[in-house]
Amino acid sequence: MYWAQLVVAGLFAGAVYALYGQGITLVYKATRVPNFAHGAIGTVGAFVFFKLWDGSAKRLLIPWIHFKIPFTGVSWNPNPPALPFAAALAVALVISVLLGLLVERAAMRYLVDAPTISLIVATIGIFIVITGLAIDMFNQQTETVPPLFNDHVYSVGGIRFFTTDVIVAILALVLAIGLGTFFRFTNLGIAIRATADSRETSRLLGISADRVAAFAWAAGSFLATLAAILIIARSNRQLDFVSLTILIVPGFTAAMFGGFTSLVGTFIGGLTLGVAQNLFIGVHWPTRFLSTAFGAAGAPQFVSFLVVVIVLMTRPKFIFKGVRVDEESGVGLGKARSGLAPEDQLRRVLDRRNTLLLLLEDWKIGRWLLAALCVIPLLAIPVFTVSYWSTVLGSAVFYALIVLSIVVLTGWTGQISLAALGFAGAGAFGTALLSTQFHIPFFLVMPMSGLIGIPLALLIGVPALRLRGFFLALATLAFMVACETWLFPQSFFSTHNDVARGVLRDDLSQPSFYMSLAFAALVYIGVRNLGRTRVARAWHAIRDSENTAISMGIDPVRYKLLAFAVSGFIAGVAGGSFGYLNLKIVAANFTFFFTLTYITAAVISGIAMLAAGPLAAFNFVLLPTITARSISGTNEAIFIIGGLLAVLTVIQYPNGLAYFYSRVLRRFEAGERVAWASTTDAEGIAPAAAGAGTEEEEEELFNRAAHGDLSLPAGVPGA
Amino acid sequence: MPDSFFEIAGISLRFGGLQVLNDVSFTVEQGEIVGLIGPNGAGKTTLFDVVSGFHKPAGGHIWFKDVDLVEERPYRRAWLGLGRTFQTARLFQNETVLDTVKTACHRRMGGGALVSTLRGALGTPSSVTAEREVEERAQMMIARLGLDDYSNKLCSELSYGTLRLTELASMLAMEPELVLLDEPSSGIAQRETEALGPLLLELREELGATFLLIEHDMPLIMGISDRIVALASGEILAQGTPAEVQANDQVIESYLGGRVDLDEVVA
Repeated sequence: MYWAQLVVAGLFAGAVYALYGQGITLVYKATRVPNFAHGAIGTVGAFVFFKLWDGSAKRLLIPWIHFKIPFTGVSWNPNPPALPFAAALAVALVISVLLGLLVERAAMRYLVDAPTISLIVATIGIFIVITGLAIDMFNQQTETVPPLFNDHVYSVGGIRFFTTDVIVAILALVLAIGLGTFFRFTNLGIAIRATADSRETSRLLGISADRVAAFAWAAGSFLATLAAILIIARSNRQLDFVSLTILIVPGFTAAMFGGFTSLVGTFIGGLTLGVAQNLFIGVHWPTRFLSTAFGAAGAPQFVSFLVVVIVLMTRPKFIFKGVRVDEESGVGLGKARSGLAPEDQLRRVLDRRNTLLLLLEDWKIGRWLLAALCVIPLLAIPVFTVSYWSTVLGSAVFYALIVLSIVVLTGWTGQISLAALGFAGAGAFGTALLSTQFHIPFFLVMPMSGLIGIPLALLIGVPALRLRGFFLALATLAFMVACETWLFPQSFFSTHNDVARGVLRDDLSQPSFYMSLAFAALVYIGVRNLGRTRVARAWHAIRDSENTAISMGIDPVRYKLLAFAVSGFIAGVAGGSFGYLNLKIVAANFTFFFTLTYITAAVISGIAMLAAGPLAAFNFVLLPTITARSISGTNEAIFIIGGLLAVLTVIQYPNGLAYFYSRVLRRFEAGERVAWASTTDAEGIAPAAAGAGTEEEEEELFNRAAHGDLSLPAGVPGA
Repeated sequence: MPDSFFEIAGISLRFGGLQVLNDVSFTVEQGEIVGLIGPNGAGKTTLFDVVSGFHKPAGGHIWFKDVDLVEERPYRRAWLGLGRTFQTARLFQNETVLDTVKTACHRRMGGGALVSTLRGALGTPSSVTAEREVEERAQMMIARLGLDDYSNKLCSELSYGTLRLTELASMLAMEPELVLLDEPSSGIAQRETEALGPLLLELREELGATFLLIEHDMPLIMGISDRIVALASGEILAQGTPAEVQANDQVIESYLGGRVDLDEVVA
């Protein structure tokens, strides 16, 4: 009876995941976009509904809607009208559909054929923008809403369940079958499938891929709102922005069971996951250690992680039949577009004003001065002090290191990982243990915290060997959420979370900052050195084309694991510096949400460039802090701006800022100025970027090559 | 144990119900250029994929310098001296020509991955020297193929012909003993194709390497190959000198659908 109860409860919980996953599947199926904004869109719809519905509106703590123009005091707080149930639902659904259409039209349409990382970062950016705006508009606190229906308790053979449970389950089933039929038999359904298969071919057949995508986003958003309202009504009836976004993992997991294409598969996947979680929680563990470890609150997320890894690793045929598994790493710099690249346009402008030569050749001292100008403020605060700035600058160091760790793993090696803060958390908790329990001095703890990050990174690195692109992102996301909700909140960690600064003095903060900065600088130099060796070249090769890398003798297994290890080490050191600056490690500092913001920051700053680390720290930690002092209310705005920037970056310049600077300030290439001279802005062709331009030139190239001479002088390796 | 430098012995491969390669066997002697021809879908590229390890054959052996390649992991085959280019010139989109050629030197640099990482991060003299040597070597190969002007261009910015030359420069840098070239003329203009023949012959001279190449350009492949292997529907149709294969009725049948004067067709 005990187990039967668990299974039934699991099925009902799983129906929620199914409902949530179906919208994700719909969007992915039609557009190949893994929609991280799904939950955010649904939550907006749910908020609209509960603010309008006359059954709930009067019971809310904050019934009004708060419109505000950022950076100003201008605001407007209207009370929304109270509407009957059906009208409120209709308005909520219409608004979410419009929101979905807006997302498609304003952002995703420009990202057709974009690499996976761009799609992920774009939807994360949208997620951040929507969440930031909505928190501002709706409320800042959790609301409790009344039940949707007069909930009956049913009891069949001693197993209890509620009306809402039944409605959710039936709706999920109906959607699975209904949408499945729609895709199989209707013209629009077939058009969507065709577009997903080959955008180009279906375009030739007269199907408008844009309209298919718009439909998918509208329908997906519709489902998101429906699911969000029901999920809130079914669970603890708490209306807030956090609980629904964390459902992204079970939602993606359910969709994964359907191979992100089958709605029936998604339905079954949701149920399977729900039952697996419930059975796992229901186990009476034989030893006290096991029951504290696996009985913890985050156990369901741990089960999600296991399920994701097992399914993706074994790739059962019945799920993955006909699913296109990513062949590419999904990480690429922006392709050369027609016309002069933006960096070349700027170079040409600078060159015409004779500034470029100055910057490149004559400005060596100037560059050192600029560097000194950046470094001196960092070192200006007296060492033996407690300073507000050590916390700010310390978090900048942490930020830079995390972005660096992302650059190595994702930007350099092409492994899309959303788990950087998991590695950092391991390093941070390790720092607490080593410094407090074992009294190990700072100078040893820092490298050791890096070493602690390595095994955790390898733990996800091993399954990653068989995964690429979005599937890898999914596995690492599940891993990150398991770290956040299951591993780090374990009672052992929350009782051993103090860091002892030792010689760096618990009563002073600035010495810890300086030492962290020094360690970060060492790590940066080390990685920069590494970037010039064959190791980094092997990583780049794996990122750009694994098969070509293999045919050049690069062992992908070894070098991928190496990338995970190095990335884990850097993040671990980041965690160590976090520990020394904050003294208390809390699981809430290492969340998947923050990881997502780091990924967006890395992409905006230039995910393949080391300079992205310091640049991101400056743009996303120091700049907001400095401006926040003069302009009030910048904090939520910075999230929104960050999200918008992320979307804009992946659409306009996926290579990021650091890459842009480095390309503007590169040395002159042969024939570059000649090419500029012959290109006008309006002409829009770029001979400079086209390699050997004309046929004659190329023929000449071949002839020269054929009559060259390869006599290697003595002393050259291989001679 | 085979006597030849390189021997494909009874390689078979099935994709589902389709027999892609059926008991394919032939040998290549050291220093030879052997051309692989056949209509589309004959299994030429698939055979290359089997040799480089991207498909595991259902049966058969591939002997290369007395080692059975089938037993070796794909990346190990490069270390044994096997080089390969791809039909669609798959090079590293986000790397410069110079870095691509340096990447091809991977196996020429000593030290394991872990040791290289530690040395590299610390910037030890040995690592710095090794990098400088690779740089010099890559520059030389680039100069050899006349690519100096392009060495700092990204591969994604190159035209197809330049990309092909970059591939050859990478092969030079890798210094393999056996090179598999998959349609080196595809995507480049006719006049360049004519220059390609002498170039390949010269590279053989300089590298002392053995070439196995797939090619659809008949004058090119017939002009430079010592021997030709003709493949159709996964089986060997004929092999021999270019003249013998050109005269083979079956080859003419499968390629051209009847006897036509070959010289007239390709001219």
